[in-house]
Amino acid sequence: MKRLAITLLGHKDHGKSTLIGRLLFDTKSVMEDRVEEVMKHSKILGRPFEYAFLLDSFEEERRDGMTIDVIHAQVKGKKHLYDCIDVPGHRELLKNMLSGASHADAGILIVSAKEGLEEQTGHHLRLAHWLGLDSLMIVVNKMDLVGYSQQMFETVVKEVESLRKTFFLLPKVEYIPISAYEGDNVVNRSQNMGWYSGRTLFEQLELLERQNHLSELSLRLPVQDVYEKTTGEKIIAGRIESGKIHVGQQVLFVPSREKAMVMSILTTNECKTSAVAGENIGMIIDRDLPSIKRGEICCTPEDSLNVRKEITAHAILLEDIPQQLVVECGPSETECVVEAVVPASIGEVSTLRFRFKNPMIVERAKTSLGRLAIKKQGKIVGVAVAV
Amino acid sequence: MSDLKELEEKSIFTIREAQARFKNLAALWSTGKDSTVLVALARKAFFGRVPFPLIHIDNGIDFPETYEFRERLSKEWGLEVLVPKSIIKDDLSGVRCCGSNKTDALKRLMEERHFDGLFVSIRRDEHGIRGKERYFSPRDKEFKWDYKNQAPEIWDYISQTDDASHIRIHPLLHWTELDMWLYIKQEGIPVNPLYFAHNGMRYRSLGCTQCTVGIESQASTVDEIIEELKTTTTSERAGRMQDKEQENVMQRLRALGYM
Ligand SMILES: Nc1nc2c(ncn2[C@@H]2O[C@H](COP(=O)(O)OP(=O)(O)OP(=O)(O)O)[C@@H](O)[C@H]2O)c(=O)[nH]1
Ligand SMILES: [Mg+2]
Repeated sequence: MKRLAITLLGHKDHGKSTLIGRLLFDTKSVMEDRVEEVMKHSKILGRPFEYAFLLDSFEEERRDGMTIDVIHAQVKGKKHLYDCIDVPGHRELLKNMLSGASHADAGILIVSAKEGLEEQTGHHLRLAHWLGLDSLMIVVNKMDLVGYSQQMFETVVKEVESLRKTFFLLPKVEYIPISAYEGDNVVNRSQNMGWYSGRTLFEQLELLERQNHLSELSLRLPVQDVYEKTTGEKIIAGRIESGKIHVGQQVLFVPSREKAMVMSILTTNECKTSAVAGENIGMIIDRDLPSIKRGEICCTPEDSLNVRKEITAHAILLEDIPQQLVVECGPSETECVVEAVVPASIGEVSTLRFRFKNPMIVERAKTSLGRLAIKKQGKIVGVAVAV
Repeated sequence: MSDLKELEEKSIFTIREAQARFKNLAALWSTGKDSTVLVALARKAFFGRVPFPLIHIDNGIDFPETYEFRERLSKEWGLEVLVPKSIIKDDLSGVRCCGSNKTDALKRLMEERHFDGLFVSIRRDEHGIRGKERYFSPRDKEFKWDYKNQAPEIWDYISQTDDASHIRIHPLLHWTELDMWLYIKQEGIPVNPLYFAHNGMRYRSLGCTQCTVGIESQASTVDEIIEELKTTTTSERAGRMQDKEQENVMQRLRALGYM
């Protein structure tokens, strides 16, 4: 069974939490005592059973009917195990939204048929694109509130499609008319929308394939730490971001530009002769190189990997930032000066130019080396993707 | 990559990241299955040696099995275990043994030893409120959790702020109860014998002798526990006294810094 992380996206109140709640319920992925607890609490608040409460567990979230912070919930599929990420739709809670959505492989954008497109619908669509999600599905929710009308569904589809065109987004997406609350076309096929012959959301989810080609790319092993054994032997620790590594291989460390040969690879289990992207390994090399420490990137000698003094990135700022800041990229960090090339308001995608005090490795990649954190006094105030 | 391996990789990365970012770490070790798995993962992350001390808060009324297990494993794995004593008295939650009393004992030790990072083996699937936690979570001196305004954690980047007295690190957040047992089986990790059925009863989640409630079960091996969990319809902490009340109680307790 493969794990897939799916983030919900969409304007507040359009039904993100309710949809995950419904998925949990209909796939029997939730324990009975949780359901009982939600039943009790819904009653206390004088409401019918709120599926959203299976996710919204803070008192304040339930009282105000809105998600404040992210929660992950596991939905059991036949082919995949879904790590469903429920995020807040309120714009002021963007830092929490990104704390969830940045961990997703794919997304489900939810649009209420009753309200149609709203501000965060477009915003989240842009964020999905910026995050580089492998795939996106779009569900038109609350069909029960518009009499399960095909016409209403198609109106929303048209609206979203014209919005997508303005961003030049992705080739094709599936639109599914659902009622998260009533359960139509979520896991079970709706009896109320005979005009729809497409897949249910769950069927659509089961068709997803996790993109996994990082091992085929060039070797990138950022040094996370170096451990010295009592014998004086040094183990270089890190997670392989992309590519493969094997014993006997020549490697190059950048920025120090030191070369070495891999003597042994210790994975967390045992000694191995090779390792691939995603594995956290320990590596022993054939010489003692004092310059190898956290922040060095291990690659192959024929690689043209080099440090950058300046980069351009698409950034999302969570607050106003001073011109001088600290940025982190993978395990490296440096002070830097930032300049807006294409400015944007807080929370929108802007284009920024970063000038690093200490040059570091940044590349265009869907790995930690292509993603930056902008920090002020240790706190993340923005994030960026290298272009 | 196998399913358990994926879970393991994420935890190892988190544990090593903590070691690289913080100066003075410690880990809570109740001797329960989760914190024992955490110790096993730390041994893997650092190739055999756990480079930080473990904390077992002792209120003097833990099960004898727990003390025995603690002694046996710490010898076998060469662990440094700190044992702050907590006092038995009434606390806010109405639980006399654990709750705030254990928290007080921990606060004293944290201050004495200036720990800036503390590993805690909580998992999202344990409780709705725990589902809201981050991998790295700043706490103030009073251990308060500012749940309404948590620091962002985007991709693998974390926020480290000066006003935090320490950071809680939760490397097991993404594991489920069943995952833990599958991993215990795969790795042959020793577990506290209280988890195995004896006279038709076993413990699913461990506290001390006062606040731990057993469940009816015939599962007396790891395999049998796995089979039991595959078909269970109740969650792990259903038997914990602290959690019996409404959801809100747990939230208030955690916001106040309870474990
Ligand atoms: N009738 C009907 N009500 C729905 C449906 N989906 C959601 N709702 C209700 O709409 C309200 C908002 O739903 P939520 O799931 O909390 O919305 P959300 O998108 O998670 O909102 P935020 O967390 O604030 O971003 C709740 O009261 C739901 O019961 C639906 O399909 N039909
Ligand atoms: Mg919500």
